[in-house]
Amino acid sequence: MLETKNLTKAFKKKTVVSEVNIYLEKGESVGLLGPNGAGKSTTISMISTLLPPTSGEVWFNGQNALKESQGLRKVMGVVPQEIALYEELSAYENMKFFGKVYGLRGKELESRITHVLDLIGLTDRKKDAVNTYSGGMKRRINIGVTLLHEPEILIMDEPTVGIDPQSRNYILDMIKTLNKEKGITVLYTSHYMEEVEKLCDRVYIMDHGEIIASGTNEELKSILSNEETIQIDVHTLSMGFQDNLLHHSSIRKVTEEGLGYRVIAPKGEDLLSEVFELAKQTHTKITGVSIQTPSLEDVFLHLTGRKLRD
Amino acid sequence: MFQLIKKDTLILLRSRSDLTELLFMPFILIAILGLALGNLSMTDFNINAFPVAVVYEGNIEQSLENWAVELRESDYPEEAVSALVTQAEEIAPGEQINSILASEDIQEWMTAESFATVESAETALDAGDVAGVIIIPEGFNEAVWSALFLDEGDALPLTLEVQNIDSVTSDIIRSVLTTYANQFNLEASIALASEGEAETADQQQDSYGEVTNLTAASPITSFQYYTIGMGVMFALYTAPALASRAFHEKKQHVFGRLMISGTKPLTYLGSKLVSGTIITFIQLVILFGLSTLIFGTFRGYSTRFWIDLGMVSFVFSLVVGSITSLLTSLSLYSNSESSSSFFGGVVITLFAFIGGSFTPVEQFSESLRTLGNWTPNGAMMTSYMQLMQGFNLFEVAPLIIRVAGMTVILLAVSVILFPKRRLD
Ligand SMILES: Nc1ncnc2c1ncn2[C@@H]1O[C@H](COP(=O)(O)OP(=O)(O)OP(=O)(O)O)[C@@H](O)[C@H]1O
Ligand SMILES: [Mg+2]
Repeated sequence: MLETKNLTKAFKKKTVVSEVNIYLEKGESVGLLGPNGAGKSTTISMISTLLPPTSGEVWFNGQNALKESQGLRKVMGVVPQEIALYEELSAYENMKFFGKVYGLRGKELESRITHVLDLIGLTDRKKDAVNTYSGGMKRRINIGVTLLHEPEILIMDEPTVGIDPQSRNYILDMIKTLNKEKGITVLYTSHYMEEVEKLCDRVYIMDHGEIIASGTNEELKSILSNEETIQIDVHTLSMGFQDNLLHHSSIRKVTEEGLGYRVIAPKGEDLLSEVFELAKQTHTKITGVSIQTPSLEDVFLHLTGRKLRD
Repeated sequence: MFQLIKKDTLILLRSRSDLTELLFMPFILIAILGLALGNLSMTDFNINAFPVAVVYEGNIEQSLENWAVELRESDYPEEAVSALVTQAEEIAPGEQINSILASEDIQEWMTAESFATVESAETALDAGDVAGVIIIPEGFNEAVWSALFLDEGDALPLTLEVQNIDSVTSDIIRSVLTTYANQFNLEASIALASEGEAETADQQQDSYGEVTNLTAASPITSFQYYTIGMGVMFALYTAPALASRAFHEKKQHVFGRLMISGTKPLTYLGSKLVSGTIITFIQLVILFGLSTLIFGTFRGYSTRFWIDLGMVSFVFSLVVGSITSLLTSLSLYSNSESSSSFFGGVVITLFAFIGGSFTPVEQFSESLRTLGNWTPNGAMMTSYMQLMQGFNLFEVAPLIIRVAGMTVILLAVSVILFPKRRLD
C-alpha cells in the first residue's frame, strides 16, 4: 500500500537518513523504533510528503507519491512530534478549523467532532484554550485533530513523548482500537520499545539513519533465540564485579541496569554458579537474579551494543 | 482561504498583547498627545524648546578693521579696500546669526542664550543646562565676507558642540543650523544683488513661513494629527504581528498540517495578505471612529470626506497586507523570525519618524518630507492631511498610486521568495 524505495536525506553534507526501505500493508500496524536522532522524524516527514528526499521514492498504491501527492495526502493523517495546533484556540475551534480545511461542513463536521472528542476523552474540556491543557491532553487533541477526516493511514511521530503513564496507556489503547477495529493502517514511531512491542505487528529498528533490523516482534527476538538475558541485582554496584562479568568467556554483553547488571549470554550454559563465584571474589552481595525473556531493547542492545535510551 | 483568514483574526482577537499593541497603545497615545497639545492647530505646533548656548567671539568693529588689514596685505588697491569695507558694513554675519537664533520661529525649537566665553558655555553644557553650544568664532565675519565678496574660502567656520542628548535632538539642532546657514547665504546674496539694501527680515519671514505652513491651508488640530499619525504607525505593527504568527505556524508544524490537508502554498500566502488587509482596515476604522466619538476628531466632515477617507484607508490597509505577506515569505524563507522583529523594532520607528507620525517633519527640512512621502505611512499621512484640507481623492491620487505601486512590488517579491514546495 505504502512503500519507500531507498529513501535518503542529507542536510548539507550530513546524511541523516540513508537508503531506507520500508513498507506498510493495508490494516497493518508497523513500528519504527530508534534512539534520539536516529532519523525517525526525518523519515516520517519524507513519507508524509512534507520534506523532499535527497534521493529515493515513496510509492502509494502504485503511484509515485512525491510526484502525485494529493492521493496520499487525502487519506493520510499525520500526528507530528510537536503539538501542531493553535494553542490560543480551544480544542473545539481547532477541530472545526482543521475539519473545514479538509472540506468538512455542517452536520457531518459537528458529528465527527463530537465523536472524536469522545474518543480522546476531551468532551468536557472542549471549550478551553489548548494552552491551558496538561501535556497529556495536548497530546490527545494533537491526535484527535488528525482523526477528523477519517484517514486510512495514520502516521504518528512519538505521540506519547513526555507524558504520564496513564495518558500514555489511554493513547496506546486508542490507537490499538483504531487499528484493530477500524482497520486503519498505522505507522508508529517511538523510542519506547514497550509501546512498539505492545502495539505493532511489525517493527523496523533504525539507528544512525539506517534500518538495522526488521520483522515481527518474534522474528526480531529470535535474533536472540540462542541467548538469554540475566538480570543480576546487587546490594551496591561494583566495578570489579562488572569487570569480572565482562571478562567471562561466555558473556556477550554487560550493561548497568538499575541497581544491578544486565547480562546477555548464550542459552544453556550453567552461568549462575559462576556468577555467584565472581561476586564472592569481589565481595559483592547479590540480592536477586532473574532470567528474562529478551525484549526489543535487548535486540537493539545486541545489534548496536548500546541502549535505546540513556 | 476564508477559514484561514477567520482563524488569523480570531487568534489575534484572543491575544491580549496584540490587542494592546494594535489598538490600546495608539489610542492612549492619541489621547495623551492630543490632550497635551490641546486643540491647538498644528501650525502652532510646538515641541519643548531646548536651550542652546551661543558664543560670539568676535565683534563687528574689530572684524572690519581686521578685514581691511587682511585686504591691504593681499595687495588690494586702497579704493577697492574702502569700497569692500563699506559693503561689508552692511552685512554683519555674526550679529545676523545671533538675531536669527533669537527669532520667533527658531524660538519654537530652541532658546538661545549668550555666553561670553567657550569655557563658560561648555561648563553649562556639562552641567546639562544647555543641550548644545554654537560657537561663532573670531574671524567668522571675515570668512563670510571673503566668501561673499571675493569668492574665497567656502565653509562657514561655525562650530556645534552637542553632548549627552539623544541623537534626534542633536539632529534637529544640526538641521536647523544648516537650514539657517543656507538661508543666510541666500539672504546675503540677495542683499548683494539689491545693492546692499537690507530687506532680509521680510524675506526670511516669508521663506521660512512657507516651509512650516505648507500643510496648513486649513488648520489641523492636534487630535486629528495624532489620530492619523498614530493610526498609520500602529497599523504597520499588524504586519509583524501576523507574520510572526506565520513563523510559529511553520515551527510548530501547523503549516505542515495545512499542507498535508491539501492547502495550496499560495492560498496560504494569499490568506496572510487578506488577513493583514482586513485587520488593518478594521483597526483604522476603530481608531478613527473611537477618536471621533470621544474627542470629536473628525466630527462635522462631509460624507464625501468619509468615503475618501475610507478609500485611502483601504489602500493603506492593502500595503500593510502586502508587508504582512512579504514578512511571512521572509520568515518562512529564512526560517527565522528576525525579519519580523527587525521590521517591528527598527523599521516602524524609523518610518514613523520620517513619515511624520510624531511631528511634522517638513519643519526640519523639505528633503525629509520628500523622503517621508516615500514611506507607505508617510505618503498616506500626507494624503489624509490633504483630504482634511479639502482636497478630493483625485487630487491626492499621485501619492495613492505610489503606495499602490509599493503594494504590487512587495507582493511580487513575497511571491518570488515564498518557498514553493515542489510537492503539490
Ligand atoms: N532541518 C535539519 N537540518 C539539519 N539537520 C537536521 C534537520 N532535521 C534533522 N536533522 C538532523 O537529523 C538527525 C535525525 O533527526 P530526526 O529528528 O529525524 O531524529 P529522530 O529519530 O526523530 O529523533 P528524536 O527521537 O529525538 O525525535 C539529527 O541528527 C538531526 O540533528
Ligand atoms: Mg523525532
